[in-house]
Amino acid sequence: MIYLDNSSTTIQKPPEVAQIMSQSLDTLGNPARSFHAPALEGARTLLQCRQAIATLTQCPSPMSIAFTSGATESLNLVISSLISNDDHVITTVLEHNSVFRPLYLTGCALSILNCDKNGQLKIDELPTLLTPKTRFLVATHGSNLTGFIPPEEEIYSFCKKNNIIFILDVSQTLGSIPVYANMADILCFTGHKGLMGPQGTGGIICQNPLRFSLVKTGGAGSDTFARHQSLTFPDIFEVGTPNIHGLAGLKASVSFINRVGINVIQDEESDNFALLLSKLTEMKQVILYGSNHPQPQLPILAFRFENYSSDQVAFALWDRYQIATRAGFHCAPLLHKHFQTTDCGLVRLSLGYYTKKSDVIDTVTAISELIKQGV
Amino acid sequence: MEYLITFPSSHLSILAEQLLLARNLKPRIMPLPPAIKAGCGLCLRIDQCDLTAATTILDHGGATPQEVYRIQKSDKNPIYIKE
Repeated sequence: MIYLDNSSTTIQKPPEVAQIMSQSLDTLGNPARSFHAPALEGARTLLQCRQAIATLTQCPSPMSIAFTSGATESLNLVISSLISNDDHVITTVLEHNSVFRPLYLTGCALSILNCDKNGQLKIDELPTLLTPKTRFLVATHGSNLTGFIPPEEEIYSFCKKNNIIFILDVSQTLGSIPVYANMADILCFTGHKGLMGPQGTGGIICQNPLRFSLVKTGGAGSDTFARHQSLTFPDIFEVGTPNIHGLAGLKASVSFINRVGINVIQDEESDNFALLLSKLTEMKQVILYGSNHPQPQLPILAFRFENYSSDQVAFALWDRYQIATRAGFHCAPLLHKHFQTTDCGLVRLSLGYYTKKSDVIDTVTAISELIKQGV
Repeated sequence: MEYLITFPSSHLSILAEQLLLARNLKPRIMPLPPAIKAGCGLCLRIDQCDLTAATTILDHGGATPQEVYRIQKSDKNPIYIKE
């Protein structure tokens, strides 16, 4: 199998991830609930996982990291905790439904920053979206459809200038390119994509305390007689028993990334992506979306064939060549509307650290054969 | 004589343990006695001779104690005297 669906999840992970998760099932107790050795070992694992992510993101305090079940939960928690129907929020056409839907649920007024025909955000139009009630800007750090990386520094500077809280969705970037805790007021991440950890892990990074309201409550292992749990970060979002076995795996995968170096990972993925892009660009029958812009770019590429829907192409790639891709709409409704691909969808190829050069060459050959032979 | 150090969250208790162990002190993580209301479910027990060094290390390491109690032995349960 050639696995090119790393934007959905990575299935090739550092070997120690599975080893540590397996061991942890027999050894880790419920963190912060008791003081015996298995419970404390669970709590220490939790701390070490925070510290590994703090190292990766250059976050000064591990206590600025809260764990969740993934980026979707992180975004839901942050958005529902901070944003009300009285707020005006700016977001972008690139977003995933895990941003749009929680925003819709708040009833807030929403303005959406558009992009050009290549899928690049029209950053110059940001000031035109401001209103007196604009309090938040929620944006992706990298499109899950085209791999486009918006200029987050420029966006954050705009936010600071206008007293807006910047919430950055780093689902597609953390573990693939350098991501720093100070890139935004809040970062929402997942553990199972670029970080190469297990599914069911993720979190929120927030360096400066914000007035989060309580949106999730229950047992926290302390303050038993209080009606409500602690409002301090990260405790406010960490209620109930954490996914400690998953977080043990995440600790292992992030430690691996810290050892290898994020720049090495980025270079490796970029080289393979450049090869893929150059070869597919040569094929006139392959219609590429959003890759016709300057670097930087995540190793993600979306395409279609004339006259074939994306499911047909993706199915043929899997059925005949065992190449795993993703067809359809990628939970990115507004970008597909922008590209006018709501009828056909797109095929997405997303590379990861374990994608080999030979995988890229074989995929290019397969696509070339499909063009000649028909889907 | 020994002391109990409490923290606002159990995460900080674990961080505190890590910070002190790294400096060759010997804290013991204990369940918070019901007599002490302030703090999370875990606290640290430490020898008197290490207390000053410990609080300095914890302040600098981002695990500032919530409260410190002197442990006074008695016939039954110890008595905790807030410092």
